[in-house]
Amino acid sequence: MLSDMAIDPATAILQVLISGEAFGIEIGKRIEERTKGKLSFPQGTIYPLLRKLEREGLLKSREGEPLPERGGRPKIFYKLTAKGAAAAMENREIVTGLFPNPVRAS
Amino acid sequence: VIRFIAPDGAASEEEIVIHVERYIAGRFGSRAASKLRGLICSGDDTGLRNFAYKLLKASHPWKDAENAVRVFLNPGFAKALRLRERAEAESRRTHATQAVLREVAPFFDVISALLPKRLAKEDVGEAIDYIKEQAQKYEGRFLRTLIMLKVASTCFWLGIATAREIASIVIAKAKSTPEKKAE
Repeated sequence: MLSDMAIDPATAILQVLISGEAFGIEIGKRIEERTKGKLSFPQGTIYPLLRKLEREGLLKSREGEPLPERGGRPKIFYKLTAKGAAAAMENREIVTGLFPNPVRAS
Repeated sequence: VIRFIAPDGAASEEEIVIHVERYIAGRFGSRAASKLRGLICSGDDTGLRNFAYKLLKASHPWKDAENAVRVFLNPGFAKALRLRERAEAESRRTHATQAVLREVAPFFDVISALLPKRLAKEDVGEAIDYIKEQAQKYEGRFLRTLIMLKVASTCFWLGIATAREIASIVIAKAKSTPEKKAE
């Protein structure tokens, strides 16, 4: 069954970023919401993976404003590069069942 | 001045309600009494019940009971009280959050000074966000143990992430050196 298929975290991240940029926690939440809890990643899984995808040129990041409640630490927002968008669209058909939300071209 | 005589000067919540209800029934009729009971004992509205209890208890020996009763009979009162309850809950959330953040901030500041900048900003920042979110959710009933668990798990993942970052830098340098030599 499609919904029971194993999906790797990198594919899931690329899929949720099709609908626009997001930061770490938000990406995790989007994945959980869109898969109705079928996929969730522990805290330590997402950030190294985001940085790895950035190094591979699939994502690019930007720093937001420093936030006082985070002790002056900014949020790091990620979005797909052209290469990342192409990779995400390649996998799109395979994971459609898991990510049924309409997509917006970035 | 109306006096509600409680046997020993103290009364349970239910006793107070009964006292007030009897008085209202005698003075304003049974419809007013049931309206009062509806207001004070309305199912899940524990805030209103507690408030009624505190207000009437505070008015011991019931000198101001009539004023208290009149307040309960005002239809706008329940709404005003709910708004106040909401504002108080929000304030409790804010205080709880600030207290928790004050507690964890110095620790995370020290950790951040030892970490690569990117990790200090992203991983630590989002751990703080998570703790803040939990503190707001539980309105001050946020368990200290949970905070400590979160701090401990953050340290664990930060250790792993730092090792990965260092390894990736070393590997990248090792790859680039032979390429430079070849050039």
